[in-house]
Amino acid sequence: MERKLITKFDIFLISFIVLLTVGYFVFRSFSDNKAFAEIYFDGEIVDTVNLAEKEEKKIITGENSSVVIVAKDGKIYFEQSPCPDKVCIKSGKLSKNGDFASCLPEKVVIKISGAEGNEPDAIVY
Amino acid sequence: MKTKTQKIALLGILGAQALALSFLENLLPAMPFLPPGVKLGLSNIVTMFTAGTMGFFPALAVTLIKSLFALLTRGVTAFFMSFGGGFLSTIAMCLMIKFVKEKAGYIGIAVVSSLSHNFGQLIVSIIITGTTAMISYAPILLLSGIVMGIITGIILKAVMPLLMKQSKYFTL
Repeated sequence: MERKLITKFDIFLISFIVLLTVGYFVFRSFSDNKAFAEIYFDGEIVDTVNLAEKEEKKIITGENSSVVIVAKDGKIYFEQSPCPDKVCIKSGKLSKNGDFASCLPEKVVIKISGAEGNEPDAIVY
Repeated sequence: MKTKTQKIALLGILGAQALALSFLENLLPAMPFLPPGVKLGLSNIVTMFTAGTMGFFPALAVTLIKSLFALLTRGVTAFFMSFGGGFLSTIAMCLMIKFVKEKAGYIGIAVVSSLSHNFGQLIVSIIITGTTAMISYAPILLLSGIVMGIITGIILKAVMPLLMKQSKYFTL
């Protein structure tokens, strides 16, 4: 088995894979696309949205199905709610891991987490 | 040419060396800067030597010896992780030896075999857990596979004369 320690082929292969992974890390640092949004109603998860998904998604929940949540372009936010103070809508658009918005009168909570399935034991209002 | 008995005896020695190397590797203190689950893969050196000088099935036998040892000492999950990685890695290194030939150096073969080892283990871990969550670990496995492959490739080149000498003892 006559063989060199390292050849042009090796260097090409290694630099290709290193470039690929470095590119991925750079791409990921610019786009926070790993976030999942968990939507709770009355303390229980009713829906999980992968924010990396491109298409717009509407989730309707709340006491009388009157709360409208929209997920769009990697962000998720309250669009409509019958509550009096509209704190939930004023919370704005959530996209980053750890972001949080809630509509207490309607018992609806949106929470962003880095991975699917990190549900809390209970939510206390 | 070696007889069948000579091959079996040589394979026994190589299998034992692979086990000894993975044991030695576990003795090394865990490096704090290494991501969890990343190992050097020293026993891959023996598998690569076997694949290069004896062919696919003897190399697979060394892998199987390693996996069975994992089954005895660390259980069923360890067996599947070990064999999943070892199987894919043996296939990959034999394909390299057969088709890329001398265009690839020791480092190239070691990098490909270490990457395919990581990839095989990733597939097994996805099957075992039933979730694809660990795919996000793939870039780290790619980078660490390259680093470990370069290290094992250099070691393989260095110990090649010794391993060749050892093989000669099994030929009359």
